Amino acid sequence: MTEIQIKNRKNNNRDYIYLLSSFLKENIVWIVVAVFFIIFSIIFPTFFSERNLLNLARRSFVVGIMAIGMSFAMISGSFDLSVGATMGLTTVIVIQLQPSNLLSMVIAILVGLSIGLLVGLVNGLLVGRAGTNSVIATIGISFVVLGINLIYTRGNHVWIQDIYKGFEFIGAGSIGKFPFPAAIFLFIIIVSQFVLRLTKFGREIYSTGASKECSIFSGINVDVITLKCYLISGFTASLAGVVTAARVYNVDPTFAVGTEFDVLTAVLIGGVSLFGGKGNAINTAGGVFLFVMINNIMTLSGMNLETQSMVKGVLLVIIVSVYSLFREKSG
Amino acid sequence: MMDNQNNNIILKLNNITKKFSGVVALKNVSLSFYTGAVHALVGSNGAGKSTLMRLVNGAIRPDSGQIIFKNKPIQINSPRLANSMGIVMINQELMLIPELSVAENILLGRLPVNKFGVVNWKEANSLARKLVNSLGADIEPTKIVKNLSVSEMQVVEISRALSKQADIFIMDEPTAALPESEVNKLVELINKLKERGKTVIYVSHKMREIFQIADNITILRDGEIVGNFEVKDINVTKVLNLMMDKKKENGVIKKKNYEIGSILLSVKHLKRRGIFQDINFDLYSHEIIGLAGLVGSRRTEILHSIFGLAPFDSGEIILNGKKISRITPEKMINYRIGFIPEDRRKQGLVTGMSVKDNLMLVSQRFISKVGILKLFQEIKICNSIRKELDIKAPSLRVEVSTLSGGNQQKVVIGKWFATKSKIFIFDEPTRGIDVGSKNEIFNIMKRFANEGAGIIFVSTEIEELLIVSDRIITLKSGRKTGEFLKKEVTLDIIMKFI
Repeated sequence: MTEIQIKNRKNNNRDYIYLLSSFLKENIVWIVVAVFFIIFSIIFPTFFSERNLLNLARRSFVVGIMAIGMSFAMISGSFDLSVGATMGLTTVIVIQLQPSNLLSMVIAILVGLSIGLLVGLVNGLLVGRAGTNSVIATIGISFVVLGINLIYTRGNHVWIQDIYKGFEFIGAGSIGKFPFPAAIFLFIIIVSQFVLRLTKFGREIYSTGASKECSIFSGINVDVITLKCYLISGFTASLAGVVTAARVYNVDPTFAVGTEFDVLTAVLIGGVSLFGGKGNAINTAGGVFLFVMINNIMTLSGMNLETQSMVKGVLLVIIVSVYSLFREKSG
Repeated sequence: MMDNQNNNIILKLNNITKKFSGVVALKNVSLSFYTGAVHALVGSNGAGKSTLMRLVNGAIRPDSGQIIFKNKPIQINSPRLANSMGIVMINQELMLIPELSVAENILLGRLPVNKFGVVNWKEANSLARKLVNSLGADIEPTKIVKNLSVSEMQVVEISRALSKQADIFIMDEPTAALPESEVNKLVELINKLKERGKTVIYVSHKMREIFQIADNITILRDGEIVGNFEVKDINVTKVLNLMMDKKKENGVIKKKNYEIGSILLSVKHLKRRGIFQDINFDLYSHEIIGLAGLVGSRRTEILHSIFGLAPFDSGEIILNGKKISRITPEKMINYRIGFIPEDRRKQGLVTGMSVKDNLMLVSQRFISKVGILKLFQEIKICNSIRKELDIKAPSLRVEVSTLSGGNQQKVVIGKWFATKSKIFIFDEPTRGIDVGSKNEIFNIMKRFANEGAGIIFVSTEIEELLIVSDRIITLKSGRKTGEFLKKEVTLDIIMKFI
């Protein structure tokens, strides 16, 4: 081979290696999921049972769908820490609207979903239009929403007295063996991945998160992108609230407090960057599975709640540090 | 010619050659610098001035040749090493910390402390004051730097270098950011340095100042020294003739001469309080307008207001005969205006995204259907842009920040290719780019113009504007001071209006 041919061959190989290694780095969460799944199945036979796995699938819905929604916000460069409160308020209101027949169910669901959109709208205006720091703004809103919740319920436990069969299905039903909430989750993963990767809107979200300034210079309306992402995040939070209402029929008004941190952990494990511009729906789903698996194992192993909490905290810190080191090397 | 100087040679360059990616930036440059003298370095854009300065400052190393400093051959491996040897570069972007005081900046890292580590402010301030006074200036050492004028900041920066026992001061366009009234202060300052036996290497375009301050002048052209004189032995005309080379037009696409085309853009009485006022000009198709001005002339601010990135208080912007209201970048892009911003990394590119995604960032709105991206078409378009602009990248999927400066700039320009824009605004497109790529970018601009676009071109390098533009508009402190056809104006004339 001539020198030029050898050089080209080497360059091509180098490019393939570069592309392959970036691909692995971006999607590493799934490798970890696979490894953990295998290890857990070996150590805990009960983990691998059909009952446990289906239960996992059903439970991962709540964190999962909120994680997908939160991913939109985070990829666009904004935090949404109000999702727990939004979910909580939605569940409470849906329950109080007493979905006992078709009409009342439809009303309850529509009202519930609009709560998420409303919260998203407020967040979007505060952070996008007014330029407020997203962490502060959404934490503030979460307090407001929680406050509304507590005033509305007067702190009391709420429950559905007479549940409509259709509504029950949303929470407890299955399509074949596949739980309905998990089906919703799957549907949302697919649609979100499509939007993020294959639409103009999606690319503008990445661009806004990675470089707000350049996006403005490129004619992208970053305030509108931010607003839309908050609408999505709020919507998924209220969707989670609706399904939760359908699953448990009764809650304490403060049941959802703190959920946003579980969601944030799952989102970060899934590789969404703290600074925006990186991540996707499928990998977030991987982060959700990993998170849910670890939770499951902790419960199956009989770990008490306090220790579980600490483990989750340590996990969050480790994940963020590892990804930061990774990113610093390549960026 | 210079051997009868009484002063000693402090720095000698022997046969220095430097290449960048095959393009020769400096060829067999041999030069001597004397103590107690001001040595001016002039040349057109791309002549090799900044390359030479970066070599002396240690930012880059020569491919061949020798550097002899204080009679010893040395290798200057880094700016830090250069500093410790006594070679200091005073940039246009001053390296001062705005929130700290004059004394703190001058003695940064070397503040006098007592044995407990507590700073002795009395001593620090008196040291700072002495240094500043030795330069003929009078600045309170406790004043916070951000409140100083530009010339005062220069004094502080030079004082700092002095306190580090610097012997050679390289000044790159030091008066670019100075108002007229302050230039004399700089001249005094430089004279003081001369008295102390220091060497000043003065890189500038401003002939008037050079002939006022410098003792020696070296003219560079296309990487070679074409003249080395004592200032008293030469005049401005001869210097300019040596600098410019009529042959430079070869190898560069000639701008075809069209009859005046249609007016694409009209700017009337544009004003933004405190920033610019009464800005009027028309942009025709098939032409390139150069906006000439110094730092502070507000050219970028004017362009930002035209493009919708910043507001304006009064005036009109008329596109194709229609007045535009409530201007946003999105709107202007839909009207087919392209904007190549000044800050490549922060405004022109999304670092972290691939070359392909960057190239498609603006045109995706025109290509996608119902919001859905047409990936195959996009790859085809990107490949053709890559070929046309000769963008050197291992693949379209690599992160754009891995490309060289010149290639990054090509991506910024390529972003607008598929938008079929008719108006292009280029804000300092050749900043920080190697000689080869600069020419390629000029060719691209001329091609656009030949194909019917109207181009507004901003650059602080007047020679660049003269090469490429058909008309030149001069601006000073936010006001339009003149408008000329290229053929009726020279560098010197333009310098008077900015």
